[in-house]
Amino acid sequence: MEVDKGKGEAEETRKVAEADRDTVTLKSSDGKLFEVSKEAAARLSTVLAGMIAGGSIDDNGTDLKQIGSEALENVVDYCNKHANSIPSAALISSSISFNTAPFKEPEEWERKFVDRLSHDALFDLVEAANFLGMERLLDVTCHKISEMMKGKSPDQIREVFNIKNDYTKEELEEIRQELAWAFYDD
Amino acid sequence: MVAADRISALPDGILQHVLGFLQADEAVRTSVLAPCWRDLWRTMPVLRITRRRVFVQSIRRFMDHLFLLRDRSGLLDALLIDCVRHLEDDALNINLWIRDPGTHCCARPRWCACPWHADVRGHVSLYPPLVSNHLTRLELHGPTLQAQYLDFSRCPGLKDLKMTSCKICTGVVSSLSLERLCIDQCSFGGDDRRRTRISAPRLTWLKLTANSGRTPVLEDMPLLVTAEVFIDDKSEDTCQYKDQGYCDENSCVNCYGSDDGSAGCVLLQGLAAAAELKLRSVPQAVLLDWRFCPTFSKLKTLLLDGWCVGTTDNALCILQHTPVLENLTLELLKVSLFVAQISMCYHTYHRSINVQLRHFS
Repeated sequence: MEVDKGKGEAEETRKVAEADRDTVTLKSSDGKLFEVSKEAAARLSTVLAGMIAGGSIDDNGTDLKQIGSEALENVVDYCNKHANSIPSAALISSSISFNTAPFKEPEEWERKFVDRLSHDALFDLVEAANFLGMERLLDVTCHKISEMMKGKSPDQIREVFNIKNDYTKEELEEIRQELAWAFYDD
Repeated sequence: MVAADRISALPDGILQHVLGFLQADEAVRTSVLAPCWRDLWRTMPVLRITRRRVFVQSIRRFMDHLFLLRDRSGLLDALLIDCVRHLEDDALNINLWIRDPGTHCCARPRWCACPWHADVRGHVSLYPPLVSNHLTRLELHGPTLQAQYLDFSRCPGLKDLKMTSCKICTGVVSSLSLERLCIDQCSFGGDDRRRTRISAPRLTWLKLTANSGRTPVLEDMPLLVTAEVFIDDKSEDTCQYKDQGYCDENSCVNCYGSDDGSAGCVLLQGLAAAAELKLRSVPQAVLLDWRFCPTFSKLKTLLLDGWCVGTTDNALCILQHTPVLENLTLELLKVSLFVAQISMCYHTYHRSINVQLRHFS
């Protein structure tokens, strides 16, 4: 799927608030405004759902000071794509719950969605998903991170993520012995 | 090369989420990355042992250590195991990993995982019943289920049960707490030809599709809302003469011989509380005679394929038994005489039912 620029793009000019809006406006830490479907936001983010229900949504742009504009654009894109990828409400209700396990693997479009992100953008998105209580987006982003670790040696993992090895040689040896049972045939 | 270590800066909860997507042994080995990673695995909420189809025996040592050394103050969200084989006591081992610690005498090892959700795959044979106060969801793909395994009286929190490609050799599937049940592409049948009985009085959602062997008998499910049943040609509930279940040919082992309605009660009786029902079958299926079934007093939406409608008599019968039906969808292979007959029936009844026809060619 192509990146949907339509709704996710920054809205530089604020739209006039209508009486019954079906979108909410979110404001990134650097002051950019984004519009997102109210239904999708409420469904995918526990934090936004709480704000919408509690009436603390600001028509001029609800401040999300912890989230930069690039991450917020990705969040909004994800919400809008998610809204589009679901055929109908009827289908969801009839297939209840057997696909909603907390560790469900991402769908194809979700994989592509995170695959195109840079290293930093991925981590910004994880943090944004965590901040907004977006369980599904956390699944997708955490899955992506796990893919970057899979099948790699500790040294390779350290290199990918730039993890500094603070262990002394003795400590490392101690851990390896302690966890010998987890280093079975590979 | 990236400048900052973004991953180690994430909150522990998120790192554990990441570890849950790794194989359990890989997750444990992240201890060696750096000191802040050392103990993360001890509280990771998902254990995944699905890399390849392992022998239960070969992961016992690993599992024993893992359960002994992990932080047992928190329950597991999920335990996912994909195992291929099975020695005598493997079923006991798998049960041990799922069950609660301390619910029984101290002789029992106490390093069990007690997940909320367990997913067991592979060709293992499971027979002793599970004991767990925590388990809410169980998914089984492939195992052979024997003896009392599907008697969940000692899993009082179980709400979701999904079985796919299982061999179900138990006489009963029973649970007082179960709300959603999916049995898809399984085969029913023990040594005797008795039907498996499904006793789940709190069931609200049921999917019973493409199973082979004898269709199970459904006991009353007063809370049922949605059900989907598909009887395909692997089912033993088919008549080679395409009768509804009463042909008196001795060579037809699946028919009942006498026309007393007992064939209809196997399935339809238990579905009578549903508000939304989808029924599909092959033409020779014998269980869909509506004449003797109870009234479907809550049924608003019904999908039938042509074979479930059968004769005009049966079509009339369906109408008589569905007084509040609002939406009827008929899936037909081709426009047949049925359509005319059925629409006639519905006009006769002067009911405002929204009838939708889907044609397949």
